[in-house]
Amino acid sequence: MSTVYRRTIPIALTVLIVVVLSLKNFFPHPIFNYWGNTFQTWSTLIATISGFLGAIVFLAYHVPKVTTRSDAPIQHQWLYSLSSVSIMVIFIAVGLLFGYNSSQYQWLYGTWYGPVSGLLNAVTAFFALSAIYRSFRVRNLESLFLVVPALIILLYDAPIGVTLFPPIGPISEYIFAYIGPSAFRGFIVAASAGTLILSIRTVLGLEKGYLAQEGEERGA
Amino acid sequence: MVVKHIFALILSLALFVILWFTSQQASQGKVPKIRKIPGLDAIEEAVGRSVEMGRPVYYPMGCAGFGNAQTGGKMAALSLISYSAELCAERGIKLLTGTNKTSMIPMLDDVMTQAYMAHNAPELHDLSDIRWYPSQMAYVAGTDTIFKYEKPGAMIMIDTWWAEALAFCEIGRRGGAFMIGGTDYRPYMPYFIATCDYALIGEEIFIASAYISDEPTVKATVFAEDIMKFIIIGLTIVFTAIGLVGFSDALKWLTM
Repeated sequence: MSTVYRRTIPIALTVLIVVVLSLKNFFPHPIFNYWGNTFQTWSTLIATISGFLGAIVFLAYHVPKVTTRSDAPIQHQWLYSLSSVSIMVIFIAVGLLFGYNSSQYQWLYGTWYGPVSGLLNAVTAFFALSAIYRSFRVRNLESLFLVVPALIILLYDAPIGVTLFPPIGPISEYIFAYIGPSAFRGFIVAASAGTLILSIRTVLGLEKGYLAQEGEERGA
Repeated sequence: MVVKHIFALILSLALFVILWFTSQQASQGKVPKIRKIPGLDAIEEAVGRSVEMGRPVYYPMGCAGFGNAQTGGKMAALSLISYSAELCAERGIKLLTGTNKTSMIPMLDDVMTQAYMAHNAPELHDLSDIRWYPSQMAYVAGTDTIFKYEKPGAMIMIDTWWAEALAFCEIGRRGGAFMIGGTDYRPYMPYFIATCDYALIGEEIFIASAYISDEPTVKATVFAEDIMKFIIIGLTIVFTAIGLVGFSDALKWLTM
């Protein structure tokens, strides 16, 4: 029963949905269109319902920390957990009572969530800087191929670059127009072939990573 | 009946035929040899390093969704997280993961629970090892916290990644973790090359399950993929030549 539940039913459902969606893509018959659209609607519904799981996982982590007054992994962790759970409850309560379009909810979102999110977005700029520093260290031949075009493009984007060294302009444009796209297209073709073969492996039941496997199936 | 995307349909059917051929070959014992992919081999090294340090392994999932064009990357990531969980369970350490997609939680929990149970170590995994964050930037902050206080010995980030990739790479690098990265999403690939100890590029992540599998028919699919790529390269050359000699209308066949 366990193998049927964990393996056969998910694979059968996957095959059915993939076949219907493929038929809808290649043969736009009303029946295929209807069932294809129905499956897509179900998918949206399932994704929405799964939103509750997020809250459960969040509470599964933080509530035990509060109830046990935990100091792990940091001192006074339970206070941080308490504040996290409180903020979640406040947002849910205000959303349910006044609606998420209400001025109260928008105030909460704009005053609390917005600035914190913006701050973290801004921090990414510093991460980008240190990544550039790392990228510009030539550790091997491959990284040299990364550094040279990167330097040229960097100089091209800086106003002083083309003024100091005029050939930078046409070289950069050549990289943008020919070298970059040709490498990317090769990458895209290979990745697309990989996606296609993975899809077929999934349909044939050969791709098992997304299915939980029993001990005997693992050879354990 | 009207048929759309005829060329794609022909290619897809051709791929099924090639796959049947390569599977037949494999079942007769002619199993293709997959070249060494250092990034995938290094997963064992990453787990080993974490065991020596007595720290958990962190395998965050990318913010790209499930059920759209990025599903392939997620499927590959699930295969690899299952493999990583098995290695962690075998060696008695915890595997932490994170996501901002609630639809991923049941799948992550299922594959991790089964991996730990298969190695008689269910006590090493619980639901709170799957960290859920409501947004991309909350996920970045959460990962920063994990590195600050739980100090993972290794971070494996093979999945389809979006803009959070750079922040994750930098947090991991600053945290001194052994890092393996990989994505099939082109714009964020350079971050992994610049910051990770090992980086997987493009289709390398899709063959991960075949690479770690012992089944000949699964390995044969990689050979089928290579044949398909050669066919696409051949078609590109042929149609470029046809276009160059003046039959540019022939290029429309490719988009029929």
